[in-house]
Amino acid sequence: MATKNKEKETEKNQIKIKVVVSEEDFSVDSEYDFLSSKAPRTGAIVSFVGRVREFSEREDITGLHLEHYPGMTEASLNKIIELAHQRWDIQACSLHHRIGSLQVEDQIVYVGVSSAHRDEAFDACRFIMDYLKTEAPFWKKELTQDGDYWVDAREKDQQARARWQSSASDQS
Amino acid sequence: MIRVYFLAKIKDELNMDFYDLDVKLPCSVSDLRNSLLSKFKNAELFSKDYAICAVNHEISNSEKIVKESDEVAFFPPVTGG
Repeated sequence: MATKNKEKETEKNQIKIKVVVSEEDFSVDSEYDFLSSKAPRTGAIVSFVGRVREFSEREDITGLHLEHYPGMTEASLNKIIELAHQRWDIQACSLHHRIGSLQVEDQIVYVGVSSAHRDEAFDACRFIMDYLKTEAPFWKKELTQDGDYWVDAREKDQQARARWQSSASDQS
Repeated sequence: MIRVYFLAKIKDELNMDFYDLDVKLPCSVSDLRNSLLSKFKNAELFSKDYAICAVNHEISNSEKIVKESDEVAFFPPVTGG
């Protein structure tokens, strides 16, 4: 039994992680290559891309400015992936979050997760996004025709994150 | 004295990236918050419900003790993703 546990631990430690915070754009194809290469035990890859919309509370958004806290942001993202890894048997994770000036239709964030089975990949991907939105130090400023406005944190993002906390006790 | 960094809306409203706050160290995050409130007279910007304090990149509660070598930042609730 002890040997089996050890094997399980070793497998779990083999997670491949890539975290990038950058003004540069990302390529979904390249991220998929990172998750799928040399991965014969991977049976599922789930990814999420967040984009700049032309509407929010306001209808006339022309772009976004994204600020972060260098050092803390990267540490926070790695911690969120580690939390997901503790919870699900995921094999690789790539997370790319852009900063600086972005225009409508630009990509903002990529989260990709691989695992042996789809449930883990779906759940871990959503968990990482829900935690990112409430924990990782990024701030959006919306640019509109009438001026620029810092976006306020939203209650529905807190509720999305709280769902994972309440379901933790359901897991054995 | 400790350098306190500001981010996002707090930085914009104060029009400064950081401020060297004249406090006796060590002190608590709560003491820092009170000093910022009395310096900038902006209760909303530095209220406990709005301004989050990070000490050495860790979100910290009011009781957290801050030392001279610590990196301290105040910022609004996060809105990335």
